[in-house]
Amino acid sequence: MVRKMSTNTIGKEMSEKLYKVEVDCSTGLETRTELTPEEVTEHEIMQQESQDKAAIIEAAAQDKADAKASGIEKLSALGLSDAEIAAITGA
Amino acid sequence: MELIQSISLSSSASTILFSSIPNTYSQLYLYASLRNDSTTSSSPALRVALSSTANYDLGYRETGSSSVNEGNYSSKVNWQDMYGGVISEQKPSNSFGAFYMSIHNYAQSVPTTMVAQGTSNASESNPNAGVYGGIIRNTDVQSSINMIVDYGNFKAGCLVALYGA
Repeated sequence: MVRKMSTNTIGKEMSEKLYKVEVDCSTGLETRTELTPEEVTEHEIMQQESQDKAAIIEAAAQDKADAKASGIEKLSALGLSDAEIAAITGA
Repeated sequence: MELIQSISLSSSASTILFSSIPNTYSQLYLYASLRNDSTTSSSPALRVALSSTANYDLGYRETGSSSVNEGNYSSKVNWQDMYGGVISEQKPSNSFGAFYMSIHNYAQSVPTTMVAQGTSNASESNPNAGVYGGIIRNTDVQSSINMIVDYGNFKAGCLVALYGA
């Protein structure tokens, strides 16, 4: 599968200090600053959003794969050869 | 094309930010070599936000060894999730994913368009790649690029370079 994930571990991964590295393109000045509590919260939300989105897409892809496997099984039960099934499904 | 600025991480960072991008170019090109410090996901998502992406359409196609995901993001939030571009701590060791993003019309009074692609390696036999294209339907000038990863932090050694043309 393209997207692989496990359960959310944000709490564990966020227990450490978080830093932002920023370069101001108008001055070339690069800074490294620790995220404020508000920025940490925002960062956690953004990471969770990303993980939730991935989970939805992953579930949809799995449903599609399951439906395809089921369809192939039924075609096989009807007597179609593997080559004939492949020609129809592209699998 | 000329280098605007680059960031090379000497230690881990949760956020990489290019700010105050000059509006004197027609196009921006972002090249990145990325790795995160998490073993949670073998295919980390790179989240990229321009300064104003509140109304965008993004289509994507992602391929792995056993599946292809494709479609459109309809949430139209500021952050765009892109897979393929960040290698995780799972494997392979000491390697960095390749990511490229081209941003057009970012400083003109027309919708910003962009295309991005990235590749990472969930395992030696399971390479992942993603291709993305999008349009931001407002005409705001884009003056910043913000990057995070969905698990953990960007690891030391990551390199991100921003070019303009």
